[in-house]
Amino acid sequence: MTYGLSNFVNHGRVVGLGLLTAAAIAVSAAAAEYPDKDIKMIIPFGAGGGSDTLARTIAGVIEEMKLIPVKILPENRTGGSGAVGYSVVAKEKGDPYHLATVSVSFFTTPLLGGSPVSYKDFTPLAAIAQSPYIMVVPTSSEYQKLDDLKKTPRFTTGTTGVVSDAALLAKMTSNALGIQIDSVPFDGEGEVMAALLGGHVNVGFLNPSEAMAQMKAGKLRPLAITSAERSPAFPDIPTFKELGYGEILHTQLRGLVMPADVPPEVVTYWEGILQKVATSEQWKKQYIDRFHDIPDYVDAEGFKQVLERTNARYETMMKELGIIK
Amino acid sequence: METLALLWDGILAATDPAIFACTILGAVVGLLIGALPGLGPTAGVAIMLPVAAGFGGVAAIACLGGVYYGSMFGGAITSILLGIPGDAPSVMTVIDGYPMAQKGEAGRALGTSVFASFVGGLLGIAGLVALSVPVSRYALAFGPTEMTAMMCFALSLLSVLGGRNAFKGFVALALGLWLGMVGLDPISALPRYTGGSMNLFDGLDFSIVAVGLFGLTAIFTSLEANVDKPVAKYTFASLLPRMSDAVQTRWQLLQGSVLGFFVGVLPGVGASAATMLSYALAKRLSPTPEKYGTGIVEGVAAPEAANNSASYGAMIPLFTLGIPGSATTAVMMGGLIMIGLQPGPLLFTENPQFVWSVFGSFAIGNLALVFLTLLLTPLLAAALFVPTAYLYPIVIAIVVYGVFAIDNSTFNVMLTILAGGAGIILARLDYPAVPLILGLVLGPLLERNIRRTLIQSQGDLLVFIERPIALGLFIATVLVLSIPLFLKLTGRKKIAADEAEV
Amino acid sequence: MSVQRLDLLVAALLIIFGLWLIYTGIGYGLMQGTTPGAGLFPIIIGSSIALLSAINLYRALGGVEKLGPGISGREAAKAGVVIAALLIAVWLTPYLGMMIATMLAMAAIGLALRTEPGPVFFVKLAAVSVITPIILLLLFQNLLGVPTPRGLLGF
Repeated sequence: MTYGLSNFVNHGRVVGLGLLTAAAIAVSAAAAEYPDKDIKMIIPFGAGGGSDTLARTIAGVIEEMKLIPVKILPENRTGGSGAVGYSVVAKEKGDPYHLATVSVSFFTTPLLGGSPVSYKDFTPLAAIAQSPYIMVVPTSSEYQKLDDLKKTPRFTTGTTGVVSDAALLAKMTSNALGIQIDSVPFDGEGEVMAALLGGHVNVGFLNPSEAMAQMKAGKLRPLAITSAERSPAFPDIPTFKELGYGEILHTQLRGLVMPADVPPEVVTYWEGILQKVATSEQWKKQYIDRFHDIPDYVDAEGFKQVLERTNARYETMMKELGIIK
Repeated sequence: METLALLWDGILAATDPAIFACTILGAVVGLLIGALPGLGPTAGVAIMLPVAAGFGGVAAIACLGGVYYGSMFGGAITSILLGIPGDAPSVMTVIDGYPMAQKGEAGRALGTSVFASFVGGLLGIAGLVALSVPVSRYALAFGPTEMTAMMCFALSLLSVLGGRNAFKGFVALALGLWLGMVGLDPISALPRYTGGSMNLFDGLDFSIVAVGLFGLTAIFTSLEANVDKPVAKYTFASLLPRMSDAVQTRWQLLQGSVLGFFVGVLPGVGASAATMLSYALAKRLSPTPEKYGTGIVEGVAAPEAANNSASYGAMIPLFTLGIPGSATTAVMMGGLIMIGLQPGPLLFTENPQFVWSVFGSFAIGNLALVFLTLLLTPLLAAALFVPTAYLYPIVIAIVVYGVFAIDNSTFNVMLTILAGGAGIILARLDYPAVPLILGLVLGPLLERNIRRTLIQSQGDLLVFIERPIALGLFIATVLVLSIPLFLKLTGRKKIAADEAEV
Repeated sequence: MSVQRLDLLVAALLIIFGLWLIYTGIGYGLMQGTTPGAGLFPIIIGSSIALLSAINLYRALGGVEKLGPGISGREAAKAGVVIAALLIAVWLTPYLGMMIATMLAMAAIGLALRTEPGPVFFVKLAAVSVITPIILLLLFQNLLGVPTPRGLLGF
């Protein structure tokens, strides 16, 4: 339990040098037989949402495959656009018994000044899938392929919040194609989809699982996908790269982080676990096939680079929009 | 007729003991969560999601649906008995329900709410099964422009809810609109009025303010009431529902159900706005509008019918298009995915049996809830016999836990207490609480949709009258505002609240 | 303070509040390109509050506004005790845990609202104050899965 006394000492304002050394010894001793107690997985968003499903599925698969000797206990800590939950994890500095998944708000809320902690306060462990975005237009529109868009100078797209992957991609596509795609911020993915199907915005950048159902029903037409290679779930959708826009490459990595300064042995330990998860049949069945993501394992170092790159992209975009200085 | 046959098959399928048990479980949990102040359908469905997903198939969604409409039944209970809105969509029920309970007619009020919920549910289900396809097309026609017009129309209808002094009513409305701005502005990504606190970053949850301003204020201002008002005033007979009320309120039930259904369908609007419109419409159309707010059954029937039918309306975009139009349906969509279904336009054609069985379970659950709540009514109403020195501490404790559970935050509990305290001053000085709550609900919808529209049109204001639906709604707005004025000027009819002495 | 005085005071404060909203609105930015910025609506709302409150202030000064009876001293004291008890309980929650803090608040509120004489009251109140939070804890924590705050003692 994090409410225990040791925790209280760790975060007291007066921490003597002796206590610090004692804590350091305790941590390294713990690492030898890590993990020896249950691990908390903090979900900074509500039950039933994308982050919640992802976190619980990962925890479920690890448990099912009996990969670790202890339990993973998922806990929803909502509020502050993710800031509350991520702060809970980040303040357990060096404690390898707190896990969290990465989301868009993981980057954007701190950049917007809404959170005391940023991606720098976490240790990346590994990523186990990537979720590309699919650029779509309603089937009723005249645009059959990506380059057709060049015929029209201006479009609108819907995004969830001002700073999101959809907004980022709209900007990248605008620059690459020499057109203008303005982002209209909505309050949820459902509203974005309704605006798109109702013809209130003209193009969309959607998650694979959202796009799949509408494409199957013939309501939306895919133009391109943002991954480096074609997605196994959508073999017919060309990548931006194939179409000659190699600079439009942006996917969301589904990965796990721990608080900053966890011992390197712990990171190696989790890399091993997550690699097994990423290649497992259970993960494929319970997540990849359901959400149509691209199976992919990225180790801690690679994941860290992606986190930095993603953060830099958001930061640049916000500066361009004049949201931050 | 084919639809009826399909629904009948669905109902038969839903009588399967396992599905029936899960439906009832969901309904009872919903009833309980709805009755707990603060927690509403979204929290309820989210809490039951992991459990329900374990049931799999029809049973899972029947259970989640049960939680959804069950909480619409349950929300009225505390609203009526204690003046504390059990969840957001039952705020309007407080306005007439609580005065009825104070008059010793708690049973009548509860009975009316149950009956209204049932009728609203029944008509909502009918709409869901018969009209879902055309109605989903209508929902898609509402973009930011139409939504802006809709909100203007709503505010024009709601101006009737002002209170005695119109100036103070508008100040309260403006304060509510301001409270709606607190948090991260979703259009410019600028945090407004958060004081740098991440607790306010997501904005103020409507329930937090409503529970404080209605519930705690009602408690805080009646601390002395029991001294000179003996509890023995209530008799057991007054705790029983009356059948005649159902007949008396038939028009409010019908209006409320139809309005609630169509407002509920619109993505992002929600059941709370539906109840407000329904109440305002009932008051507008009433020959005796001055009686609203004093504790009449019509004032309970209108919003309660609306919130139940709105919950079915909200499910239409989910089932026909795969679009979650509200927070609650977004969680239900999570449930569909978890049991291995792909919500989308093909759900109906690919899994007709599943969809119809779920709808069948709604019909069964709705009926079951009537019996459950009617049996509970005298029992619950008897809570009023408990002396306040015991009752109020218990109620306040429930409020504290309920509000905490919204976001697991003691900060929210603090806000609720402060809202309750501020409510005392507002109440004494005749600043009405209802417009403030309306502003909080409708303000963000209005502001965001105006700005969305102008992003789309690049600042061109003409779009508001170029689109037919928007134009129609604006004309209706002007009519609603000008007709009473015209009637008053020609001395034909008096409209309450519009005639504040200046 | 008489209710008329309070009315004056609140109207005056609301004028200042409205002006402050206008000020903050200007800071947030009136326009954002061709669309209204984050500050436009605060400015509109702030102006309305200031203007309408000025009218209310005028009415209050002129004695046009008829208000109900003010708050009696006893009632204000009771409401004050209840609110204070609640705020103290919230403040104590991180130390005592939500269950015990709620128990104390309930007891304090019950004592403030006491109407019946005799020692039986204390027994009943104590029972209610102890049992309710325990039931709530079981309901919220164990059934609904809400992580309620625990105190330093672990519950």
